[in-house]
Amino acid sequence: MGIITGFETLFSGWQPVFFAILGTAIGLFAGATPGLSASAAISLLIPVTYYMETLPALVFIYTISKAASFGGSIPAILFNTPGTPQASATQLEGFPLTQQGKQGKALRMAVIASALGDTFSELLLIFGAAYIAVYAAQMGPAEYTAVYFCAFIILGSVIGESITKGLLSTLLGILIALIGFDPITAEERYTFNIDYLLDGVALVPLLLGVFVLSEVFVRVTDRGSLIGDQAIAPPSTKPEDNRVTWAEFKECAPVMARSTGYGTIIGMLPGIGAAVACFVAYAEAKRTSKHPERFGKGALEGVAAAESSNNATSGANLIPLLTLGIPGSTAAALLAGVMLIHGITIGPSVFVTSHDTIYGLFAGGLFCIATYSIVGYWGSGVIGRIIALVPAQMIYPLIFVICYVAAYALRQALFDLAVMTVFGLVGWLMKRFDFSVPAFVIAFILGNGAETSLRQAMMLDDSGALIFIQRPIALTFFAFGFLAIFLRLRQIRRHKRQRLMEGSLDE
Amino acid sequence: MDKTARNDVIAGLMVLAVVAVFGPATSKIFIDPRDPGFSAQDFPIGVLTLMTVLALALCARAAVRLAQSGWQLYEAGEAGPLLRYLVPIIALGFLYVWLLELFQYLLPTFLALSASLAIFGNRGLVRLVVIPAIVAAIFYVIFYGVFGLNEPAGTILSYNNDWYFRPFREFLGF
Repeated sequence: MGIITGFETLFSGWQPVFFAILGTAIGLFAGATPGLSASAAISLLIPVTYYMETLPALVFIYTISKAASFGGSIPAILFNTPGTPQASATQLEGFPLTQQGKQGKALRMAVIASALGDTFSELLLIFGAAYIAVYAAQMGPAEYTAVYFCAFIILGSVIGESITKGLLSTLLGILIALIGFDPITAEERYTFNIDYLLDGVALVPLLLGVFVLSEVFVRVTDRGSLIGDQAIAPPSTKPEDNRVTWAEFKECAPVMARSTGYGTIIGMLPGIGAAVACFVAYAEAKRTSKHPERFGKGALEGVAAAESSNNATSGANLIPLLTLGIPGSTAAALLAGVMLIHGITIGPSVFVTSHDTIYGLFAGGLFCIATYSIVGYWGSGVIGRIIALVPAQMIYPLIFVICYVAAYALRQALFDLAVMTVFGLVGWLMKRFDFSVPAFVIAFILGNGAETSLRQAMMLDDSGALIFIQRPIALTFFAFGFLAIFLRLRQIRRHKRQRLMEGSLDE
Repeated sequence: MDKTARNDVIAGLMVLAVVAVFGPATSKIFIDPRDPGFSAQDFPIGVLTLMTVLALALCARAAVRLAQSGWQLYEAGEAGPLLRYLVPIIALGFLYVWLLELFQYLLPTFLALSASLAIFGNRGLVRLVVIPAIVAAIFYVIFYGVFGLNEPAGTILSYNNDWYFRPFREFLGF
C-alpha cells in the first residue's frame, strides 16, 4: 500500500521527521499569531526550503499549513481574535466559553474536532486522489482548458461580495503571469526592456508582497488596534470545565461528521478556502441544532463545527492539485510552488513520477495531525500565553524586515525586493478595495498553464473552438463554470431582495 | 458618503490604467506567421478586453451610486493614517532596497528595523536601538553566515564576510 511506503520514506532519515515536527511547531505559532497567516509564514519560509531535500521541504510546508489551521483557533478562543481567517467562526462560540472560564474545554474541543476533520480529509486524499488521477491522466488540452476556465470562474465569482471584483482579481493574476517568455513561441511579452522580467515575475517576491508585506501595510494604518492588553480570563477550577466529557463528545459527533463533509467538498473547489467552509458548517450546525438558543453564548457544537470543517479543507485542497494541477487553496498553491522549485511535475502523473515522495508527504500530514493533537490538547493554553507576551507592535516591523531577507534569498537580486515592495502595495490596494488576493495569486500560478492548454487545444483540431463542445468532459466543466456564475448571481439577487424587505419592514 | 462606490470608481480607474500600460505593449508582441490558431497576442488581448469591460462596468455602476449620494469623494480625517504611517513605510521599503545597494546588509537592516518599529509606535532606546541591532545581527548570521547567501556588494561601504563566516560554516559542517 502506498501509505506504508510513505511512512517508510518519512522515517527513512531524520530530516523529514525533524521538519515535520518543526513545521507543526511553526504552523501552530504562526496560526496562533493574529495577522500572521499560514500563507504568510509559508511565503517567508519558502526560501529556506531551497537548501533542503525534496521530501523534507514539502513536509515542512505542508505541516505548517495544517498546524496553522488549528493554531488559529487558540487566540480566537482565548483573545476573541482569530489567528487565521478560518478561525473566525470558532471565535463566535470559543470566546464566550473563555469568558465563562471554560477555555480549557473550548481548546480541547477545537483540537478534537480539528484532528477528526483533518484525518478524514487526509485519508480521502491518500486513498482517493490516486484513483481520480487515473481518470485525470486521460484528459487532454481541451479538457484542461475547460478545467482552468471552471476554476477561474469559481475563483472569481464565488469568493467575496462582488463577482466583478472577483473576476477582475483573477484576470489581473493571469495578466501578471503573462509577463516573460511566451510558453509556446518563447517570444518576449511585457518585459518593458527589463532583463529581470524575462523569466516572468518571480513567485516568491510576489507571494511575500501580496500576502505578507500588504498585511504589514494594512496593520500600520490601523496601529491603534495593535496596542492593548491580551490578558486571558482566569480558568474555572471545576475539572469538567477544562475537558470535553464523553456526553459532550457524543452530542457534537454528528455535527463534526457533517461539518467534515462540508469542509472536504469545499476544500476540493479551488480558491474557496477554509474561511468559507467554517461559516457554512457553523451556520448549518446552528440551523440543525436542538438548542440553537445556545449559539452565540458558548455552544460547544459551534466550536466543533467550525474547527472540523476548516481543518477538513486541508487534505482536500491537495486533491485538485495532485490530480489536475489546480491548487485548491493558497496554501496548496504555495506547496505547488515548492514542488516546482524541487522539480516535481504537478498533475496526475505525480503518482507515478514521484510516488514515494507524494506518499511520504501524505504520511507527513498524518504525523502532523498526531503531533498537533498531542501538543494542542495539553499545550494550547501555554501557546496562547507565549503569544500574548510579544507585543503586536513589534511583530509587524520584524515581519517587514524578514520579508526583504526572504525575498533576497531567492535569486540574490535586489530587483526582487523592489518587485516585492510593489506587490505589497498592490496587495494593500486589493485589500482596501475588496478585491480577492487568493484569486489573484491562484490565477497567477495557473495563468501560463491555462494559456498553454488553450493554444494546444486550438492547434490540435481544425474545428477551432468547437473542440470544447465536441469533448464531453470539456463541455461538462464549461457548463459547471457557467452554472457556478448563474447560482452566484441568483444568490446575490436573493440577498438583495431580503435586504430590501428587511429595510422596508424596519420602516 | 458611499465609500464603497467611491472606492469602486478608483479601483475601476486603476484597472483601466493597468490596461492602458499593458495594451500598447501587447501590439509589440511578435506574431509568428506560421503560428496556427491562437497567436502569442490573442490570449493577452482577450484578458485585457475582459478587464476593460469589467472595469468600465464597475466604474459605471459605482458612478451611479456616487451620483445618488451627492458625489462626496472624501471624508475628513481619512487621509491622516495613510499619510502619517502608510506612505512612510512604503517609502521605507524602497529606501531599504536602495541602502542595501550602497551599504550592504547590516547597517540598512538596522536602520530599516529601527524606523519600522518607530512607525509602528514603538519608543525608547531598547526598542529602537538594542532590539534592531540584535535582530539584524541574528538575521545576518542565519542567512549570510549559516545559509551562505551572497551579500550585494555596496557601492559606498563594501566588505567581504567570507573570511569570518567560512570557518563558521565549516565548523557547523555546511
